[in-house]
Amino acid sequence: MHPITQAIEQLTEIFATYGFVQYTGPEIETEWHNFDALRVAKDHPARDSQDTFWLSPEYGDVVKGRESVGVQRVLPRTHTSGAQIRRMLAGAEDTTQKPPFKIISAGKVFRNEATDATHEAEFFQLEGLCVGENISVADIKNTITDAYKKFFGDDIQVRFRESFFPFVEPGLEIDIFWKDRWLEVAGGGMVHPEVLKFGLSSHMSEEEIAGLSGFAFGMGVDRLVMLKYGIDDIRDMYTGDLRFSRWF
Amino acid sequence: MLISYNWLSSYMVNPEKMPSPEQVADIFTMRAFEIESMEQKGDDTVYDIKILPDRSPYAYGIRYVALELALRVPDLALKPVYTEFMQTVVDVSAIPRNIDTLLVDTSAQDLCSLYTLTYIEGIHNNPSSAEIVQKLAALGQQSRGMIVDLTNLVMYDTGQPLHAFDADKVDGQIRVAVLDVDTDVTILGGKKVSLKKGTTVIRDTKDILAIAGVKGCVKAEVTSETKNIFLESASFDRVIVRKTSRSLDLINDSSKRFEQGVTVERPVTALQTFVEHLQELIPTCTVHATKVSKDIVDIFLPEKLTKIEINIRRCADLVDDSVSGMVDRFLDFMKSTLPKTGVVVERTSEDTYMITAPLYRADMCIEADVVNEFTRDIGYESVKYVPTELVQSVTQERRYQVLQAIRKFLVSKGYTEVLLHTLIDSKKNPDAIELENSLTSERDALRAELAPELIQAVIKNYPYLDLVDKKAVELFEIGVVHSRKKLEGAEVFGIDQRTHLALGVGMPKWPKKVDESKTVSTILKELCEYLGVEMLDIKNTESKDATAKILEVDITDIIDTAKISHIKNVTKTEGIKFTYKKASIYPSMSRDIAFFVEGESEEVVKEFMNGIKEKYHLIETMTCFDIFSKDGKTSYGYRFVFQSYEKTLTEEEVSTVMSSIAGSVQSKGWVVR
Repeated sequence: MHPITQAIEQLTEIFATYGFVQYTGPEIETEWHNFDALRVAKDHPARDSQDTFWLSPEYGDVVKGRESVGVQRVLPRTHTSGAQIRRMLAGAEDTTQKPPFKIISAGKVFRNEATDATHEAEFFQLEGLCVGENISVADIKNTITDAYKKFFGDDIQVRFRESFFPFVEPGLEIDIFWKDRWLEVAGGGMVHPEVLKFGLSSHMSEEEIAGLSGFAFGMGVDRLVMLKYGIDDIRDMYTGDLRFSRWF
Repeated sequence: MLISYNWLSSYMVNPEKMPSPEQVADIFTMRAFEIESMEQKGDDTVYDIKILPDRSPYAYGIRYVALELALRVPDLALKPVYTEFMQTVVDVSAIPRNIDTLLVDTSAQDLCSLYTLTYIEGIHNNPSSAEIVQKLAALGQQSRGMIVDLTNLVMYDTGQPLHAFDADKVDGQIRVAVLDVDTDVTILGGKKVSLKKGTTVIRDTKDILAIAGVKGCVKAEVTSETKNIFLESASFDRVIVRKTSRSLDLINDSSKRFEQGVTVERPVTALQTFVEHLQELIPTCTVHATKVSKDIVDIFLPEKLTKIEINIRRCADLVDDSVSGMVDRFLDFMKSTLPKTGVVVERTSEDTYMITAPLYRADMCIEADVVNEFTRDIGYESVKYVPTELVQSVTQERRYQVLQAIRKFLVSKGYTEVLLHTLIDSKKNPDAIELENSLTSERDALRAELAPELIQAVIKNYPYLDLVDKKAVELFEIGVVHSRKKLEGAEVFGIDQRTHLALGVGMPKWPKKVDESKTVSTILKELCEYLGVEMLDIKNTESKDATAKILEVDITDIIDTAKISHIKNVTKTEGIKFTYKKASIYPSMSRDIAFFVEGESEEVVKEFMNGIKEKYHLIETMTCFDIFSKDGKTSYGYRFVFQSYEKTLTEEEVSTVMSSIAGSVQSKGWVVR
């Protein structure tokens, strides 16, 4: 199997031991799922065409579970985080899908940027979301630390530091100590209360939502694979070349 | 943003308590900002820090960065003159003002929430002191005379860009306006730029004086002759400034700060700071009434401040509900750390507090924001790590299970999984849905099928068959493809996102008789049986020369119908420990050797041959393709693939190595055939 699929499989099995299951989101996502519901400001540069690919306005989609937001523009998703919102909204159609739950979501994402050894316009991310009662910063720290210990080896050092993403608060960055230096490998944090509302308020009361908290994280699968195997050019992974595949 | 260690020290009451430059970098990295670079400059250290959007409305002023540092270092404290500015309510009565003169066009109100203009008489723009020149040089800025330098110093200090106009060059009244026609202007530095209709500018009755928030024009430039100035301190709209500065390619320290959003109190803070410094430098100058766009007192009314209710137990639990003592730590943070940032903390009941955020902290809006202040104060390292509890089993998503089962089945048949591009060339794929915007024309549309890319991948691999010791290229891809569909009840089209599987097989020369068991359709038939589903509709594609054959099927629907209960999840390869080697760009060449061995075990021969492979770095791969025994002798057949990472190998170079290998084999007493 392709090293990216292998890495996703390893991570899926690791996270399954903590109770996380896969939940697949669509590659073509609505603007609402990809940006609005994640609190990415309307005027945020991330929505600009130099960062995001867009499909023409002749294409669109409705938001299941939140039809009131109307028909939305669609785009090749810029991150897997839209799946967080989809998973939360799943409770609107099927009450057994209400929190608590723990999901991971792996898939391809797209960025409108020039390709080079470390940048590809399409690559893979793995998203995680845990929503329930009494979910804390300690929980994300424990979960991610353990997952990386399993993925990279027991002696891997993992550290958490201050960061910012609009859909979490507090937001943090996750680094591993790799070959004499700290490297950024994932971002995450506690789910922003407004994001919980975007995902859950269509089918849960304000009091019910206030009793919940959650953590979320996202990591670039390509980067993990490149680090683990010493691959220095991301483009090598998408050529279909057997001289690459024979190593895996 | 550039900041210097010496700048930071200058804010402290007790600079001797400053940690080392490395420690400062560590504190910022873990608690506040990323350090992009750190450079020794003379006796100073200059950092390039990356300020994330939540902190950018305040941290583009170095005094606030200094505060971040002081909070994290025991005993280190900011000089009171700076902490006064961080209080919740700004004392605006201190600034002289004349609210009768409205200088902002009504049409420009949205573009500029606050505009102040202060007339200052009796100044000069003589060269700055060596100390100021040095301070600016640390941040890569040239000195341009006392007045211009002071506007820059105050900008770096407070985060508020300022602009000085030579008052004697202004014709009539100054106002903020939107251009109603395209206009050419000459900006400071002498460059001519063309401004589009709709650009926000500062103008007098005759000319344009500045592009709002971006750049001044030469018309009212401050020079060595300047005697009187209008000092502008304003809040321009962040989006307008971003768009204007990007479209004119004029991104500078001023535009970058406006782009982040300047908080409401900042123009006042900067104005007061400028006037204080100026009166020290030129005590004889006269500061006249400040003209403001509207009654700025209104903005600073206490009831307009953000108040946040804090439940200390809920906050402590959000950090860690499994340890005792977190509530006390949080309370201690509320009482001793938060007030130092200008936050007013009041207790409202047993567990609840009401806090009032200072104006400069526009990021502090909800309880979770305060929890974030707490986590970065204590540091994530002080949240105790406890191994995660393991669960017995989970019911995995069907889609994941089915796709993994398909992958493993195909790998067991000798197929290699590839992942190819979703973004493809619309010229070669006329049915593909085009992107509205794309960097390259070769990747400007979404694939509608997997086959076209897979054919190319199969053909490209023909030269490497020897290297991977295979007779045929056998690849597969599972991926999402996109096409247009009707969207019920809407005027737009939807995107039909289907999951496809494509199998590709190719050989540069096909044998006369094809092994039926290995054709793509046989493989697919077996796969369908394995998954307990009916045979799928196949779409076949061939390369022009018919050497590569692709079979593509839509597997979206079998995700729900496939029977997977009988499929055991074969667990992954445990953390593989090896370092991948990048493929050489030079061609490979293969050679065989066969020899008879008498009286040695297979292990001994294999170990010897592994030694051979290690010895010659030109051997890229070695495979034992044949072993048979006859009359007490065993024959071994080995294939070597030679490849260099530096050049194309010649026939001679490979022959030399082959003779050398043959020599080694013979020296063991083995007979080369």
